[in-house]
Amino acid sequence: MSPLEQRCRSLLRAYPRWYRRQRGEEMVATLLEASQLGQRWPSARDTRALIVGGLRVRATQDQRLTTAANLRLAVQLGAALTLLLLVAGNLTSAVLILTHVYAQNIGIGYWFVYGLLGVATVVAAWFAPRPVVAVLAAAAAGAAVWVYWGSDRAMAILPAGLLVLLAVLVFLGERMPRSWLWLAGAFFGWNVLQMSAVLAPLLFIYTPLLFVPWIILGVVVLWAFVDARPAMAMAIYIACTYVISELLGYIGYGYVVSPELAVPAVGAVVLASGSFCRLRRQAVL
Amino acid sequence: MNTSKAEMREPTYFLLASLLDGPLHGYAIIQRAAELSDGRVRMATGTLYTALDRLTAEGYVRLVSEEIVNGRARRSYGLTETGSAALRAEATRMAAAAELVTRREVPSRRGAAIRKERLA
Repeated sequence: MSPLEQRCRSLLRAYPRWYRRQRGEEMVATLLEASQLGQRWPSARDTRALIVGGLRVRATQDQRLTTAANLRLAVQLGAALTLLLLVAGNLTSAVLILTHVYAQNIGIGYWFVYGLLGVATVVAAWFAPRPVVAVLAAAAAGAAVWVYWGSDRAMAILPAGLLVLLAVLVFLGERMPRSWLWLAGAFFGWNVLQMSAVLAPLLFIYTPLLFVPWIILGVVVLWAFVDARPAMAMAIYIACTYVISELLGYIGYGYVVSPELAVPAVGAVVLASGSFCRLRRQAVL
Repeated sequence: MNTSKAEMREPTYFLLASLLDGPLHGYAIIQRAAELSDGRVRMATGTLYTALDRLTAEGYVRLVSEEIVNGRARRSYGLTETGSAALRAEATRMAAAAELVTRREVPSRRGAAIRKERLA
């Protein structure tokens, strides 16, 4: 085996094993045919195309989808991430209060049910049949309205709207790839830990946890070179958690909108525009 | 899953066009596409196979034959009727778009003709 062939085979490791079994030998043959006499290393273009191509297959980036379809998937993920943030707070608070503080507080049970329904809807968006997603989303939206309508309408409207949006997008056809589950899991885990960090034994994790969203953002931005949809989802998440919730508070209660809101708003716009450009390039060859 | 059609970009167009004269294997497709596009479309191997995966899934291209050459698999791909129709539709669309421009007179010549007419 020539050094060039060895290096081509190493690069092909970017693809999953099942793909290499199916296409590997054929690709090696094409790479060798396309090489110059005496060439020892694959060209920079081939190297880049193989790494990006392999990662895309691993990311189950479906290149048959149009930009609009990929955009719908990104919105689904953005809605799912925002919902996980909202309900993780409810679930964790309910558990902490029930186990540590006011066990007699009856209203906490509703928080818990709302939190469970919210998480169930997000999980169902990946795995369950469409009618199940619709039923769970309707129940969770009802629970959000029930819990928050009297106290903070923004906290009722935002999750209810996102739940309806998620159910409608799932109904339209595309389902989120399972390779995105790590992102949802990381978000949920981070929020649960952050809420739990108020407890004395977990206080030490409070500061390290502040870096977690920045690490996730960094990973997602880098991953945009392979699949831009999670980056678009992060832009939606930032817009929903900072901008839209503030605006709903302003419309509902006349809360003063902080000028500092411009920072996440601009960040969300920049991230959304950049990832949209990448999405358009990735939708077709 | 929705598999709605995406618009056809230049590399896709030349990849399909390279198969017009008959089935070709991977490297031959890269060469033919470069030749047809006057060197503009130079597909990397990884890009070619990503495109072949997508076009096969969309029914534009199909696997025609598989043989072993020098101990390695060599697969040849050909255009399907759907692929051929899509390629022709794209060619017609581009020809109509080009005609919009090419059928007009060059503006400077037209301006000169009008000035000449006025002087006369």
